[in-house]
Amino acid sequence: MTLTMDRAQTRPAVRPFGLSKAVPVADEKLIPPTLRLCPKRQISVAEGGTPFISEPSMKSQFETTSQTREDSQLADDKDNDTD
Amino acid sequence: MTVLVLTRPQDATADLVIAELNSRGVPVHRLDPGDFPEALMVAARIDSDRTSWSSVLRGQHRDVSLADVRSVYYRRPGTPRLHPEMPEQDARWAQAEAQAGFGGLLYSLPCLWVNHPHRNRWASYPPVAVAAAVRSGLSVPRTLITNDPAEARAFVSALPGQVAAYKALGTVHPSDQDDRPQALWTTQVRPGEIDESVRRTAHQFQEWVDKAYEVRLTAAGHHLFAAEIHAGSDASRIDFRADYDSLTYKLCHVPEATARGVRALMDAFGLRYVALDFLVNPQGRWYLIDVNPNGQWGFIPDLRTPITRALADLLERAHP
Repeated sequence: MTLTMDRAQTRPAVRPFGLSKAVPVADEKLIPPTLRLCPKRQISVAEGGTPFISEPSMKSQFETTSQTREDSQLADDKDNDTD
Repeated sequence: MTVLVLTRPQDATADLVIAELNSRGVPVHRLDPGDFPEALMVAARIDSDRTSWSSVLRGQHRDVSLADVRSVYYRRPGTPRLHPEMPEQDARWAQAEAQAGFGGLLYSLPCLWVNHPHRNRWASYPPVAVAAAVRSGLSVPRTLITNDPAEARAFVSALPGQVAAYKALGTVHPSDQDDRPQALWTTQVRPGEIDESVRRTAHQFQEWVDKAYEVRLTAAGHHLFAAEIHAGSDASRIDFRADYDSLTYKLCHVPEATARGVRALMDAFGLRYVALDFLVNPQGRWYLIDVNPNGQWGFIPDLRTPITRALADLLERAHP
C-alpha cells in the first residue's frame, strides 16, 4: 500500500483525532558516557575498560532511554522491535 | 559455531547477553548492519550444489562465515549507512539495494533467530496480534478500530462508565509543528470528545479496564518472567510509560491459563522471545494490551539476570 504524503501546509491544520491527545515531552539532553566498543569482548566499555553494564550510569540507560524511546509511542525503531 | 548479534554499537541490553555468552566461552560476533557497505565487505555465493549462501562478512575487527552462525540475536540493528557524498536520489536507491541484498542475505540464515525480523513485523500489527491473542485463549479488552466517528461514539457510549482507552496503533512518534517529538500515551476518551477528526485516519478504542496493577511478562523460549508494575502517580496509573520514576516492581506468578495462551501466541507467530503487557483487574483477570516481539527487558532490575541467562541459553543451544 502506498500513501501519498505530499501535503500542503494549510492553516488551520486538519489533524487526526489521535493527535489531539499528543503531549510535549521533555527534551532529554542525555549526555552519554564516553564509551567505546571493546573489539575483544564486543561490549561497550568506559574509559579504563570497565564494561558499561557494570557502571552506575547503566541503570538510567535501561530504565529511561531504552524503554521510553524504544518500547513506546516514542519508538522510532520499533520496526526492528516492536518495542 | 558463533552467535551473531545484530545491533548498534551502543546497546547495553545486548551487552548483557554478549557478556553472558563470553563468560560461557560461546563465540560471539557482534555486527551492526549499519556498517554496510562502507565499513563491512561481503561476497556471497550460491549454486545448485548448496542449500544456503556461502559468505564471509569482513568487518573492521573480525570476520565471520555465515556457515558458522548457530543463532542470531536480532536486537537494534542500524540501517545501511551510505557514503556521505552520495547524492540523495542515488542514496535512496542504494539504500534499498543494500537492504534487499545485505539484509536479505542475513535474513536467509537458516538457523535459530531471536527473533527473525519478519516474524517481529507480523506480530507488530495490533489487529493481527489481538486476533492471534484471542485465538490463543488470552483475554483482551473489547476493541474497536475505526475511522467512523459515529461507530466510535456508539462503542464508547456502550462501555461501562462510558469511557474508553485511546491507544495509537503504529510506532511512529508524533511531532509538533516545529518537528519536536511528542508523546502519545494511552488516554481516556468519552463520547462527547469524539468528533469528525476520527475520520482522518485509523483509530483504536478499547474498553477501559479498571486495573489493580499492570504486568510485564517476558518470555524467552519456554521460560516466562513476570513482574507486577505498580503505578505511583496519576499519570502512570493511566499509562505506566508516562512516569517511570513512580513505578515499583514485584515479581509475580503467571496463571496457568495465561501461560498456556502466551505459549500458543508465540507458536502462532514463531517467536522465541516476546514482551507482553497485561492489565490485571481487581478480580485477578489478566487482559493482554500490548505485544512487543522485540521489547525491552532490562528495566526490571530483578529480572535482568534471569532473562539474560534465558536468552543466552536459547542462543547457545540454538534449538527451540
